[in-house]
Amino acid sequence: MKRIILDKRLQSSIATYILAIITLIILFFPVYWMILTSLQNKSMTYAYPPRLIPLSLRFSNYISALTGKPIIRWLSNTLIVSISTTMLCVLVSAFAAYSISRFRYRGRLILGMFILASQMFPATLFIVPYYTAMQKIGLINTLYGLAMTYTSFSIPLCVWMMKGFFDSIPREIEDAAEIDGCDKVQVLFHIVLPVSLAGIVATALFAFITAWQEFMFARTLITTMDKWTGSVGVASLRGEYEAYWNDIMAAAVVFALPVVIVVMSLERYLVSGLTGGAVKG
Amino acid sequence: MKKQKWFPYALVLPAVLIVALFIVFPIIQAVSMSFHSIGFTASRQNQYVGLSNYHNMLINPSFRRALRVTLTYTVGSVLGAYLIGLATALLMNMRFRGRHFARMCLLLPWALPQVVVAMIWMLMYDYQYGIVNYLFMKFGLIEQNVNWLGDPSGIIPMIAVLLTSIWNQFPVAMLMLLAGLLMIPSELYEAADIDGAGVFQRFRYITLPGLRSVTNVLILLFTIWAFKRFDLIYLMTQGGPLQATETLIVQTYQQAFQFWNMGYAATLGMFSLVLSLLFSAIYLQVVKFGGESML
Repeated sequence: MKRIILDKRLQSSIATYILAIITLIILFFPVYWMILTSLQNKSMTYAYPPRLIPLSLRFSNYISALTGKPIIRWLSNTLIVSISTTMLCVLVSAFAAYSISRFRYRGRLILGMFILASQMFPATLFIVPYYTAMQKIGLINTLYGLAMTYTSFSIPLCVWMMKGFFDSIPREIEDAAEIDGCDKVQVLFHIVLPVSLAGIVATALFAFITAWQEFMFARTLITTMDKWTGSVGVASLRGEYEAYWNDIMAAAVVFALPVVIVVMSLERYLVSGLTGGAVKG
Repeated sequence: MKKQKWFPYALVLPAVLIVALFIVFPIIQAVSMSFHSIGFTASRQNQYVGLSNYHNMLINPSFRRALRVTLTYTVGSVLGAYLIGLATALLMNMRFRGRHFARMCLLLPWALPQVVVAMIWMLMYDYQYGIVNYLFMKFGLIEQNVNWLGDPSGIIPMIAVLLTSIWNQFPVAMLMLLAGLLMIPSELYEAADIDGAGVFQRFRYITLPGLRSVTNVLILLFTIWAFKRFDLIYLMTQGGPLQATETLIVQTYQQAFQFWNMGYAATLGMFSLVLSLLFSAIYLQVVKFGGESML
């Protein structure tokens, strides 16, 4: 009896392993290909038949990409925009979500529904008025104008996520604090915010990721090359007739690395963020 | 304690202000623009044209084509990402060493910026040197090189764009479904084992129903995102070849910034807005009837 069970378990775990490895290989392959291409020279990339396992690697593509194009500048622009967006968005959204979650007042429901609905508006609806409006008030081609744009788009999703987190925090904690003499402001800052740190991190993560990779508004609202963000910069590397794929991939890796590192290290906050705090961990 | 009545209003004020300024106001402007023909030169100023933009839109075959393309793309990418997400979630739910590492690797397609995803796949889809053609031929899936992004039939590019989108989106489904799987009480599975249920029966009667609320949220989220998607499609095909992958959103952008028909573009934008609101309202109603509310 025991032997049969042991064999069955072994079989299914080996099968699981094989399945996992095959799945991983197939789904991870494009990333592998990107890294591989960034480390090779042109003749190997255009070789036929292409080699799946490289013979030699070199880092010179990174050097030429970093020196040939203002990638560092693009990255710093992206960093400025992303961090500004994240900070502003989290602050504003946390306050608004707390208000909607905790207090009952007129218009609360409509407000909540409107914030939810505005998530669904397609960005192309805004691009035209934004372009003309920003030109008039002189915010066109500024990084902070872009950050404001991103913030306004991220607020709906962030409020929705944070509201879910606040909803899941029992009110007894706040009530206890109030009984002890704290006023509402103190309750918010000293009790609720520390407890909902996970929610704040999740919200900040989404705002950051969205701002880092955004392309359409960056391309339209930024008009001079020195203010390009990484998305626009990397996209520009593919000319109409030529494409130096090795350099492009090197630039792509450099552009992707910061946000990938951020996502990987904060990965466990992603799920709870997506499910609005209803699922922990 | 009672005297701080202004507090909740003060808290919500910044968000309301920003939303009013940056979302409500532009929408009102877009509405107004949709009733005008927007001119940029001295000789051609803005003209009030009433409903003619809307009329032109409805009779325009390009518009109807964009609707079909949008439907195909949305259904394809939502279903594809959901199914792959479900499969990987089921896989990741099993115990094996390196499970966490595997999950992080599978997260990468979503973590990469969309521009990077587009670049990678454009390289892979290359007609002559692309690895996709090479591998597919090697495995006997195709007989000769396929022009993935430029084939005039339009079907191949749509498939190419769908594959890339699915690859980019499935990790979200995987994460959410994984979380949903963990919430299904194990007692149900134990009871099923006692009753002698097989793998497929367990899946059909316990797993799938248990995932219903997560699935509902996921489908809604994915559909809205697919409908709004611009970066990936525009970067890879610009809506081509011959508008074969031109969804409503891509067409709106082209009309605005390639043809400079701002008024008409605003009209398309209005239509997209109404469509997405309608879909959400209908979907939420349907889901409510299905039982569990999800928000």
